[in-house]
Amino acid sequence: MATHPMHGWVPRQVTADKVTTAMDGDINPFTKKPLSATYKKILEARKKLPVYGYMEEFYRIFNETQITVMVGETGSGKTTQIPQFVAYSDLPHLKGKMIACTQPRRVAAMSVAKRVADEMDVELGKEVGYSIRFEDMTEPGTTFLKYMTDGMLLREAMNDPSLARYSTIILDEAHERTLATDILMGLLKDICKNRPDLKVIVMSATLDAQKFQRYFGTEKKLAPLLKVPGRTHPVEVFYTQEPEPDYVEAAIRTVLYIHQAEDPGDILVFLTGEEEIEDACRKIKIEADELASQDPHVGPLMCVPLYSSLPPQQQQRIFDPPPKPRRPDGPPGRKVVVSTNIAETSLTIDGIVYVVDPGFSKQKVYNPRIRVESLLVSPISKASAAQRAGRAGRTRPGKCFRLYTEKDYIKELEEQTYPEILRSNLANTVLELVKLGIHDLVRFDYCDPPAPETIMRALELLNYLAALDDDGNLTALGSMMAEFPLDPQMSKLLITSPEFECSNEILTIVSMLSVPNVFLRPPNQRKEADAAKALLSIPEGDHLTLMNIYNSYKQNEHDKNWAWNNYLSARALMQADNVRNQIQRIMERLDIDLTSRTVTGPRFYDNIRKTLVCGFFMQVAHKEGERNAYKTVKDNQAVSLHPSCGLDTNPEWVLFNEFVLTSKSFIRTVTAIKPEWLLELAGNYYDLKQFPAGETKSALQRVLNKQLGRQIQGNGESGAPDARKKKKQKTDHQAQGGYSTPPAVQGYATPPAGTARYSQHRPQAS
Amino acid sequence: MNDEDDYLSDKFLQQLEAKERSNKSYSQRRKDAQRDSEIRNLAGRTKSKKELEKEAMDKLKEGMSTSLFEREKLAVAEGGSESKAMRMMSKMGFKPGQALGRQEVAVSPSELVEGSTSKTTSNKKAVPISINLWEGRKGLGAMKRPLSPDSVAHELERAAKAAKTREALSQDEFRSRNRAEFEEKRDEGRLLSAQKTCAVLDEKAGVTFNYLVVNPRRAKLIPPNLLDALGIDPEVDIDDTYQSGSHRMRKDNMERLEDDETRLDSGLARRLREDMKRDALVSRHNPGEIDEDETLSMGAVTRRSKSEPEPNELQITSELVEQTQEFLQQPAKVRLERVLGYMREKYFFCFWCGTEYKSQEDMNTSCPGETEEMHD
Repeated sequence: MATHPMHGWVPRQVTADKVTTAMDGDINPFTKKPLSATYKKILEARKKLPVYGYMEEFYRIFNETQITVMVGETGSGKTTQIPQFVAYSDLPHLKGKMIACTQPRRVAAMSVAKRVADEMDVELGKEVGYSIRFEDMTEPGTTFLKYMTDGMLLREAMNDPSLARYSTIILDEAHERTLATDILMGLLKDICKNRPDLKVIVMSATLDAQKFQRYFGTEKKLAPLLKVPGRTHPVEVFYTQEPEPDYVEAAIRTVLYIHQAEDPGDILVFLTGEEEIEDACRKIKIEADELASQDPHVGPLMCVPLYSSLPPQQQQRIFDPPPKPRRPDGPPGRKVVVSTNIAETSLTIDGIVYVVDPGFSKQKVYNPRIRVESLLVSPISKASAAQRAGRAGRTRPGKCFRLYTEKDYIKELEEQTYPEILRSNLANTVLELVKLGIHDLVRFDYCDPPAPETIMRALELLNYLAALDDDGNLTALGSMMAEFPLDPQMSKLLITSPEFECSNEILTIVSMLSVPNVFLRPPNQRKEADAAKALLSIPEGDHLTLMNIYNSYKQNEHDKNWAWNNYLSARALMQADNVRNQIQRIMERLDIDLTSRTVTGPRFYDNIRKTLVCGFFMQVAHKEGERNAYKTVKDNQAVSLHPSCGLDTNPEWVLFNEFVLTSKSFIRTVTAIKPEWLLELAGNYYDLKQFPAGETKSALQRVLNKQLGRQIQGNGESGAPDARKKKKQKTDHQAQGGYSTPPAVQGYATPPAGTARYSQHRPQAS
Repeated sequence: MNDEDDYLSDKFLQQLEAKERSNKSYSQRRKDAQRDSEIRNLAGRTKSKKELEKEAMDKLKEGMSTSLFEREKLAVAEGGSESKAMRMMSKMGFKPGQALGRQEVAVSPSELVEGSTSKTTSNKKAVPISINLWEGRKGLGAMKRPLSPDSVAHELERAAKAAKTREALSQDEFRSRNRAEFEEKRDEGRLLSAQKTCAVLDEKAGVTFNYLVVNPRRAKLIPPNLLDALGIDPEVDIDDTYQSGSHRMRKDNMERLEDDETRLDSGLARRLREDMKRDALVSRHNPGEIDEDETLSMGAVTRRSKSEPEPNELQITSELVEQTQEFLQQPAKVRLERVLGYMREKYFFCFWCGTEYKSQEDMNTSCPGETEEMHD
């Protein structure tokens, strides 16, 4: 019987020789089972990865230091190999510890975990697993290498502040600077001080490693760096002479030029959005067909779109080989992939030799001043441009055509893309931070500190939702809200829903809001799709429509074609169902009743809408003037209902899920509400004494006056003083000439916000 | 906050600056008034889609360039209180204008590393990153560069300051302007009724024409030749209620001209008016002619339509025109005072008492005084 391959190994003093020997052995050191033939075959491929050659250097640095920064370009193999290297050094399986490797994207976490399970010759979900929001594919006690989204690790930190179960944490794709990765970096830096046994590796694909080295280093010394070059070829970069008046046209022209004049090799074009990409694909196809019919020296061309909302089977088309020549020894065919920036880092397409880069991408930017999320086309960064160009050199030397001048490249492009923490609404993050025990949000060691106004908006929201008290301390309600991997407004809804006897319904709505758009609208069947949607719509609001769709989906679950026939995304609905189960489990754990009213009818819908008000009272718009002209409450921004909105009228008051800025200001996913509910359920926010003057305030004042009048009529016996007050109120109103609103009536007690009530008699989260 | 769109806002009131009012000629002011009413109408009607979009865009830009801390400051300055969120921020040690994050150390290690400055940028932001507003499909460099956060901060400060002064100014001015406008309107109304009374008294006393009763709001009652000499459009007659009662006065005061006119068919009347206008124009643009022919006889005009000259013609002298013009250029308050003074002096009539006294003595003893306040 052979000795155990790891016999006599001392954790973190392992050398590359020993590891190589163990890898080449016949017994799996982690499971003690014989290694399969597949393992050996994969091992040969692994040995060819650039990172494999750096094993010795890796161990030298890793064994010596607590925090390592590593740079390895896409294709270097760092995501799959480094965690395994760490496993051979940490020997987590012997110590009951785990290694975590974070990924910004769920899909990456899943697919990489699968790949690594194969490489290590173990079953996925056993020794190697993954954990993503709403899906945990690990086995406690067995799993020692866990791929997970960065958001999941952050959530784990909330209940395990020192992350004690991990021996090493690897933050992969750190250059993407997602919100969760940024927060994790701050946390880990802190945790490392108190846990010398914990090691951290920050892996990045771009060369901006110095930022991380400095951040994780001391004042005198940078954190050590391991640099692994990728397998890349030189890329020649071309600029235009003049700025382009229309970058889409310019991109099409460039593709056609390459197709006619350049050597064989596929083309990757970066555009900004679905519509633009489909439009460009259509035009390229028409032009290329015409060229090919006129000129026998021009080969066939295949144009493939790529964007995230494309169904997976269509996304797969980017891997199709280029078309064959029309006749033997004719000019070869060419594949053109027109993509959003998802092809920039996350997807690798072989065969790309030419890259066309107009210099734009669609970026999500949150503005705390008017609380809008914009999805606008903006210039990319120099780092992004370099990344795009690099895509041309994957298989052989390539060319990158930049549709802007070199001067503009230098002058107009920022060095780095803004990290997500600077571009996002931080309400959820602040709640998480407070739950993590970070009370000083001002001096927290951010890698890039967010705008103070963004933090202030988050505090404002959390305070109004009663998740934080006036001193910024987490309330019992807030603690409970943090248990949900959802925006605080949504978790508030779920916690409040039993009060209104509609928790099942709210659970459905929240689930539907947490998945991608369920409505399909194929370009050639828009009318049919809209008609199908209208049939499922509930006139009072899109939230109710979403609920109705989910319910209809469940009723027709046996019918495989139901979703398709109703122009709905079966994938999104399935996902909603899954999310619903996960959230339901959390609710059960927190002892939140799952109730429903037995009778349906208008009151039934009213209760749901009232619950929505309890969470979304800060996202309300009031109709002012024109049919579809609304103003957001307090910020007074002019918005319109998004065309996707299913309301059949334009109610005076609406609650919205999103305020987005595209070509126009829109509110999306909208439900009609009554102003009385705002005053009743969110009195704190709708305290008219603190309300900015304007039509909205006047309208609310009228409602309040009406209520007051009714109240006075109700208590007739207390007559005299009240009547006087009423009269006084009336004269006040007249004196003001109706232009400005009279001051809020003194002595009229607005009912306390629902929030305060619920936080008191809800069971505390444990 | 919203009254930018309101016609009571300073945008429109600016054109009614009280100071300018007295310096402008009557016709100039009339033109202004017309333009003003056009603007009012414009504000009243439903705005076009384009206008609404522009308005929304302006509001959006304004919203995105106004810092929340500025808003807090303003709220406090206006006697409100700091928001709870602001208090929470302050409690954590935040001061507006600062960036978040770990306090900077004196010497950052980046300076020890060669060439690091070119590769890394400090992202410490005190303000939110700016949003590039939609520019269509223009290529990079073909559009305006978005404001960098630093210049945004700068711009912001400036805008906030300007907004503050504007607000303070507009609040003050709004009130005083509003009051002035109200008083002007009130005086106009009183003037009108005083003039009516005056006309009755004049009539009783046998005065054929008194420039003090001339009011452009009752243009139909003004002799047309004078009207034209003054450049007033006779079609404007706001005081509809006065129509019936005015009939007699017209006959007497206007030398039956109106009667003549009603007898003529409307086409002829128009031509007549046009002729008169032309004459009036000539007289105004060629002062020399007036010198030669000092009086513009009413008869000269009427003769064209009527061979028989009227016995009691009103002689429109350039002096009368000047007098009237001078009178009309006064603010309503002054005009009112003059009319009232005239009535007190000539007819011992006190407008405020509504009484015609027998004599100066009688008035001195029974009437409390010349002004309205004295009658309280």
